[in-house]
Amino acid sequence: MVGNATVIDLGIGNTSSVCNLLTRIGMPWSKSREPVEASGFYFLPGVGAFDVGMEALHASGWAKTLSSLNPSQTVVGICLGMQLLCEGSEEGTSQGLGLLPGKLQKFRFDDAPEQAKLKVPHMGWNTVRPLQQKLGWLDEAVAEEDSRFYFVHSYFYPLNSHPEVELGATRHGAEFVSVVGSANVFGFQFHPEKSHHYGSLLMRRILENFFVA
Amino acid sequence: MKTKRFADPRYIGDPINAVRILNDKRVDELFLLDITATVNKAEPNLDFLEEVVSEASMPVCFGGGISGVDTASRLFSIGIEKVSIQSAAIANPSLIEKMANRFGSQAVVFSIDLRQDWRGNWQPREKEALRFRKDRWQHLVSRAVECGAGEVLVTNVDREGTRSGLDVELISEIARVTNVPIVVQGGVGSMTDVRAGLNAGADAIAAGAFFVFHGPHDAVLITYPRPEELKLLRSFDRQCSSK
Repeated sequence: MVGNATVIDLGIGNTSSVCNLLTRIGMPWSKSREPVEASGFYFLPGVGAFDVGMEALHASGWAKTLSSLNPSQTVVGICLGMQLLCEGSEEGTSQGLGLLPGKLQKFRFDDAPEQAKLKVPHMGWNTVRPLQQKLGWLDEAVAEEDSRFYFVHSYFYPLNSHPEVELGATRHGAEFVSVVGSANVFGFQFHPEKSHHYGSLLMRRILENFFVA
Repeated sequence: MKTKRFADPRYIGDPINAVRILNDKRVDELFLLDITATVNKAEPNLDFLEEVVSEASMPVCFGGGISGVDTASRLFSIGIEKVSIQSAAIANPSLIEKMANRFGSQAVVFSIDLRQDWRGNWQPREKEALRFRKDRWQHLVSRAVECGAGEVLVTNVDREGTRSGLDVELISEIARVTNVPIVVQGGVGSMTDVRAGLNAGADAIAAGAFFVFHGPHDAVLITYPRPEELKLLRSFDRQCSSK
């Protein structure tokens, strides 16, 4: 892989962990608050509230850049970053970027029977089940013995709402979509940068498959 | 540094090196707690923390001396996943609310250090809180959760660093007080202790001495349960929670 990946810094926290992971797997990167149009690969990490994230995307100009990527440019959203790529969320009133179909819903266990009440946010390690046949870059990392990924979120992408972009599922109560993607836009609900070897492997594979320098 | 009942600090080695060992062992989560920061009115040492976090391939939670939203914001920007707040939140519960609104509940951990008084009642170690007799620890915990704390870290100071076993009665009571995930530390000396803690209602167990000391003379040796042991624990945990 030659060239740089661009890590989008919205100023709402936590970009260093992603940069550190890229360093560990030998991928050159640069981090930018200002929109960069010529990059082959973008990472959109994010922690925090949906509306705050959308506001930061618009104010910085990144919303416009990400909405006009050409097919050889790939963007991967992580956690809130994944949610911002979708059409919207129950968490806020802002419209999402809409690069992927679907809206996020809040985990609700209020009406569940006592023994089925789970905690919100869904926080901790969990597994990912591939939903599509033979998705080489995803299969390897999620199929490893003891494979697990670190999740922290209160809103989820509902399963079977847009099967064409649903790539991986995770269970918290019911199953939800933890990996989304289509063509050159992907999202991970978990944090690959906090998921040890399994996250590194996944990031390495998605870069190998989609990075066009 | 590792302490016993938050006293007698012992140097356990270069922190960067320790984090590398914990990466290799695929540790679930790392808590970095500066237990002297509030007392010394010290702000977190961001350069040092950034160096530690950049080595960690697991989530890192930091606590100690975080007094405002700006400090928390700086911690998140260097890659800290969660902040743990105790003294500042007890003195000013709206701080938790501000942080949860800004960063999300999942990033805000309310931490409380408990020890038993002469009557055997659990009391917060926090001096500020002790001034208000009505602020029982249960109240402090539920108020923090109402304000938006997404997780509660409870430290049993009496057993901290002792490896003498978790207090399961205390854990059951904490589990009754709140419905957000609770992490419990203070006393873990074996995998049986961990299992008992989960069984009593903890969502996760944290340990220090158990992982860094070895043998009757507390020799420094960083260890972590083997994958088989953890797997056993997870399957057991599932059985318990599905009952």
